[in-house]
Parts: sequence; C-alpha cells; structure tokens
Amino acid sequence: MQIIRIYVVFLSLIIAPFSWAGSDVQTGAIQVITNAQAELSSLSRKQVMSLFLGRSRNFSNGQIAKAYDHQVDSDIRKRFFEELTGKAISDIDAYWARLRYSGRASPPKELDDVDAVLKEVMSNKHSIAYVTEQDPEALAKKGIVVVYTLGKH
Amino acid sequence: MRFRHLQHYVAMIMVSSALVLSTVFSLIAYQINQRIAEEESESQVKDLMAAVKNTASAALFSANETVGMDAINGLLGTDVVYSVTLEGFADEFSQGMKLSGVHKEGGAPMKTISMKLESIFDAEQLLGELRVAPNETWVSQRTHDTSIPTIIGLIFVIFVSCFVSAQALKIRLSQPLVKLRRALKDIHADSEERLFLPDHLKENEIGVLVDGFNELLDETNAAFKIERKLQVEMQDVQNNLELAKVDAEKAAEVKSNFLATMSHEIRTPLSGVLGMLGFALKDTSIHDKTREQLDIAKSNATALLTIINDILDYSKMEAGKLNIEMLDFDLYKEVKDAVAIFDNMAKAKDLYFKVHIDDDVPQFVNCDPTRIRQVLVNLIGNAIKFTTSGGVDVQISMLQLSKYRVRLEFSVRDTGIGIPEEDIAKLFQKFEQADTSTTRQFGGTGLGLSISKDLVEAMYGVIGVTSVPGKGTHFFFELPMGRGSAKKCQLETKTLSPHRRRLRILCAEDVETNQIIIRTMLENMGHEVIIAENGKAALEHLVSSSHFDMIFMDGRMPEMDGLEVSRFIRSGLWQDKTIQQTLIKIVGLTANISDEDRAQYMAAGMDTFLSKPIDEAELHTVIDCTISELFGSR
Repeated sequence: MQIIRIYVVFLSLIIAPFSWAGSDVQTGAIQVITNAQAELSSLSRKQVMSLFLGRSRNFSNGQIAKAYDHQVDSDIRKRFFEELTGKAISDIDAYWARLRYSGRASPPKELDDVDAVLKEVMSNKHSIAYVTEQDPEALAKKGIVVVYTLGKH
Repeated sequence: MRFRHLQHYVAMIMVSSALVLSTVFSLIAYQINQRIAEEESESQVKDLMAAVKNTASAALFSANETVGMDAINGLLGTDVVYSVTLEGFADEFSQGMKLSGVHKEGGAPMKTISMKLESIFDAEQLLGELRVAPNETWVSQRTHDTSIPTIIGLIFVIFVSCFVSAQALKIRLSQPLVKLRRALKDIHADSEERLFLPDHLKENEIGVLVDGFNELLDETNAAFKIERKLQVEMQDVQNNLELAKVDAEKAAEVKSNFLATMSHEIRTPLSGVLGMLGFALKDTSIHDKTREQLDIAKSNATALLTIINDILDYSKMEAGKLNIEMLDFDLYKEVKDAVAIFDNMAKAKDLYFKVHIDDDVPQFVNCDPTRIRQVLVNLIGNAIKFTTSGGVDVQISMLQLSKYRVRLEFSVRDTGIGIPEEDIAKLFQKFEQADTSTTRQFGGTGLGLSISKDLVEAMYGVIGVTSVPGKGTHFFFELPMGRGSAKKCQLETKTLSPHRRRLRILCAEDVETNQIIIRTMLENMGHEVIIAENGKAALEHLVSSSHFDMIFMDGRMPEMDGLEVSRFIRSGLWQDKTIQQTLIKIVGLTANISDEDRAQYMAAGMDTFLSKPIDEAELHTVIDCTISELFGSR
C-alpha cells in the first residue's frame, strides 16, 4: 500500500503539468461519470447519493448500475463524500461499517486510481464513478459522459 | 367494642389507623411505582431506540433487511421491549419494506412508541418509522420489585409511628388518667385531698373536669363542716336536754320525797289525834255534848287523814311505788263497809243513797279490796259532795264471768250539778277540778279522780264518766278480777276475841303519842307492855336478859333505827353483850311501806309489818298468830 501511495503521488507530480487547468485534487471539481452507453445525460444529487451509498442499484432508466469507489484513505474519496452528503467521511465509513456488520453489505468496489476508474467506466456500460475534473471533450472521446459535477465554481 | 382501659382503646384506634393507612399508602405507593416503572420502561425503550436509530436508518436507506432484523433483534434482546416494527416507506429509489419482531414473553397493552427515521445523509429525507411497544411484564415485574421494599418500609414507618403515638398518648394521657382514677378511689367526700394533674393536661377538658371535681369536693367539704358543726350543736342540745331531764327527774323525785315526808310527818301526829279521840270516845263518863264535839273532831281528823292519804298515794304513784296486792275477800261485805259511812252523810244532805249489787255478781273475788274501796269511796264522796237534791245510786254488775275470772262494773250515778263537756277531758288530770270555783265551793285536793284512775289502771281496769250538766254525772269503772274462795276470807274475818295468853311485849317507839296508843291498845287486849324510847333502849332491855314474847319496832327512830336494832337482835351480840332471844318475833311498825322497804326490813330480820295508824283488828290478828306460834294452836 505504501508503495502504491508513493506511486500515486509520483504519478500525480508527473501528470500535473499536463492536466487541465484546475484539475487539482484538493480544490478542483469532481466529476461523476458514466459510460456513454448508459445513455444518461445528467443525474440529480440525490440520485448520485443513492447510487454511491447503496440505496439504488439501478439507474433512473432502469439499467443496472454498479458504482466504483476510490481507495478508502484517498483524498478524492474524502472530498467526494463530504461534499456530496455534507457529512464527515467518518460518518460515511460508520454507515458502511453498520451495514457490513450484518454481513450483507455491498459497498462500491474500490479502484486504485483515476486511471483505473476511467478504464473501468470506459469498458463497463453499467459503471458509475467519480474523478477529478477532466476535460469533457477528452472524456467523450473515450465514451465517458459526465453526469454530475461536484465542487464546480 | 368496650375496653376497660383507655390505653387499650387508644391502641385499638392506632392499630386500626395503621392498618387503614398501610392499605391506602400501599395502594398509592404501588400506583406511583407502576407509573415510575412505565416511565422508566418508556425512557429505556427510547434510549434503546435512539441507540439503534442509525442502524435502522442505515438498514432502511440501504433497504437491507438483514441489517433491519439485526436492529430489531437488538431491541428484542432486552426484556423492556415487547414488539418492534421497522417500516420503510417506498419512494423513487425503494419500494419500501416492513419488518417486525415480538419478544418471546410478555404483552403490550400500552401505547406504542414511534420514531421517525430520516436518512443519515439528509435530515429532510424521511425513510420510515420504528415502532416499539414496551413490555408490560417488565413493567409489572419492575413495579413489583420496587413496590415490595417501599410498602414494607411504609408499613414499618406507619406502625412505628402509631406505636410511638400510642405510647405518647399512654404516657401523656392514659397514665395521668389512671393515676387520677387511683387518686379518686382514695378521695371521699370528706377528705382534704385534691386531684392533681400534670401541667400539660391542666388547660384542656380533662383539666376542666378535674377542676370541677375539686370544686365539688370543696363544696362537699364545706357541707360536711357545716354538718359536723350541726352535729356538735345537736349533741350539745341533746346533752343539755339530758341534763334538763335528769334535773327534772331529780326535781320530781325531790317533790315526791318531800310530799311523802310531809304527809308522813303530818300523819304521825294525826294518828295520835285519832287514837286519842278514839280512846276518849270509849270513855262512858263524858258528857253528851263533849261526845258530840269529840265526834266532830274525829270526823274532821278522818277527813284530814283521807286528804293526806291521797297526797301520799299520789306521791307514791309519781315515784312508781304504789303496789297492788291480790287477796281473796268478800266483795259484798267490803262494799257494805265502804259505803256505810255515806249513809249518814246522805241523810244529812237529805239525799237518797242506794247500793245495789246484782245477784249474779260473785261474793268472793280476788283483787285488792283496799284499792277498790278507795276508788269507791272517792267516787261516792264526790257524788254526794256535788249533789244537792235527788240522790246517789251505786250499782255493781257483772260483765263477764268464767271459771277463774270475772269482770265487774262499778257504777256511781248522781243527780248533781254535772260536768261541762269541755271539762270532762281534764277531769282525771292531777290537781284538776271542773274549775277553780269548784275548789272554792266544795273543797278537796283535786287529786281524788286522778288517783282513782291510776289505781283502776294499776288493776288493769278502765274508768270513765258521762255527764249532763244540771242533770247529773255517771262515773263507772270496770275491773277484771280473779274468783276467790269463801274459806280464805272467813279466816281473816273472825271477830276480835280475847287472847288465850298474856304476853310480855317490848315496844320500841320514840313518839310519845304513839307510845300511848300502842300501850293502850295492847293493855286493852290484856298484855304487858314495856316501852323503849329508842333502838338502843330496846337492845338494853334485851341484853338485861329480861324475857319478852315479842317486839313491836318502829322503823324510824333517833339514835338507832328499827333495821339496825333488828340486825343486832338476830346477830345475838350488841356492844360485847349477848342477846339471848335471837329468834324473838319482831313486828315492824311503819307509816308507808314500799316493796323495797319491805325487802330491806325482811333482810334485816323482821318477821312482819303493821302499818300506822295501827288497825286494832290487824294488831289482834298478829298477836293471835304469835300466841299460836309460841304455844301451839288451840
């Protein structure tokens, strides 16, 4: 894990100069993305919350939805859930912990980084995930649609 | 219920109160405890619900039934919860769900506690509801558990309080009252003691009661004091009365004695006068005129003697010394003798005088002839005295007759002045005549009827009178008598015959007249008489060893009286000289003899008595008897 973290930081430092303006993890907007084949244009905040917190397992059009998460201790995850729910990340963790305690919880699968996320969304039409702000044009080329933007000023 | 002691009563009230209070407070305590238990269960349930709230919310949010059942089972894991329902509402993301569970035992009659469940991430998003019913069994168990010590404590406190109250009442109230009751027992109406109360009871009703009682005691004390004073005063009065009575009796006795003495003193010389007159009249050589004068003198002296005898009888009766003798006698002869003296008196007043004895009246009776004669003489004397024309009827008739008893009526009827009705009542009182003018006109002591009444009553008879003023008076008396025999009477009524022997007789008599009378009488009977001036002289005669056949002895003599002389004679010794004739017959001569005197004389040694003035016949009889004793009967 330590190696992975170092790797991520290193990768970030390399990518950063090439990144789109404002794509900083700390301050930049977070985009909720889906596969274009899901045929969704945009989602409400509530819908986003339902999908990421295990309430909904389908998109509004009835297609099965599968949410993907970032690493538990990642900054993006912390920012995403805190800004999305207005609650502390510990509350979110406690929520999942409660569900997991009963043994039948199904939290979103954690992926290693943004690239892994993009890769997953690109390949899976049921997937829904969130990433630091990307260029929508570039995303569209990969067949990814931004359905909700968080922290956009 | 009734109690002998106040403290038992108090104890009963206290126990009853304790029971009632215990019951009431136990019920209240139970109610309160139940309420508390309910509230407790509610709050516990709420706490539990709060604890599972997030889990339940999470379950609903994620529509996770397993998690929901976990939350429900968690709640049911405690006894305080009976049933749990977790309901999730359907919305755009979820079709809703309903989960419920029930505790294995208990019940839920009470309200259900509901809790709205919101989304953890959005307070405004209502996800569903959690409904929990508290368990009644837990509540009742809880109530039970908390109530038992409370109730035990309450009962303990109540009973201890009641016991303490009862003790306090006992000490403060019952015991003073018990003491009061004991004190009350010792207090009587006359005692100076007072009831005492402790200070704390003085001001209340008991105090008032005790004060009232003490006041009552004061009053009874006062009443007793007055009563005692009255008693003392009454005792004084009684004592004074006793003294006065004794004085009065003494005075009466002195009076009676005086009368007796006086009559005796008068009678003695009068006896002399009568005796002398009798001797004088026996002298045949006196002139007729002198004889007539002597007769008048004798009848006057006899009248005087009657008066004096009346006084003597009266004084005897006053002193209770009058005695009635009972002997057989010839009633006819006695009445004839008694009335004989009135023939001449009636003739002198030109009155008729008739005496009639009914044929069925027995001749011989047993009574006191002297007293009957006295009463008859009195009544006839009065009748003649108060009658100026007409006359007097005397009648003796028989009322009842049996073998041994006879009841006779003696009746004296005159045609005299009569007695007014209003005076009849006091007729028989002493010193009373019809009025004082009567005394002036007719003379008399006024004692006659009173004495007659006393005499008749002494013989168990009755006396009475009826009278019509101006027409006449009828006196009568009834007497019960025994029936007598003729034999005894004849013995006493033999005529004076000359004595067979000439006796040598010693007479002890101090009064010269009496000396002459007895000497004359005895010498007339043919006896030798030696007179002794007094008792000593008589004794000197006896010790000089001259012989005498008998002695007549006056009772009262100067120097030595008859009693003393008799005692010396019977003792046979006087002044160291012997008297030979210690058995000589001694005849006492006395004026008035009571039973006491008689007993005294007999005790002193006298044989018999003759009363003065001396009756010649009696004297003759006594001498006759003595001759028979000395020389044998004829």
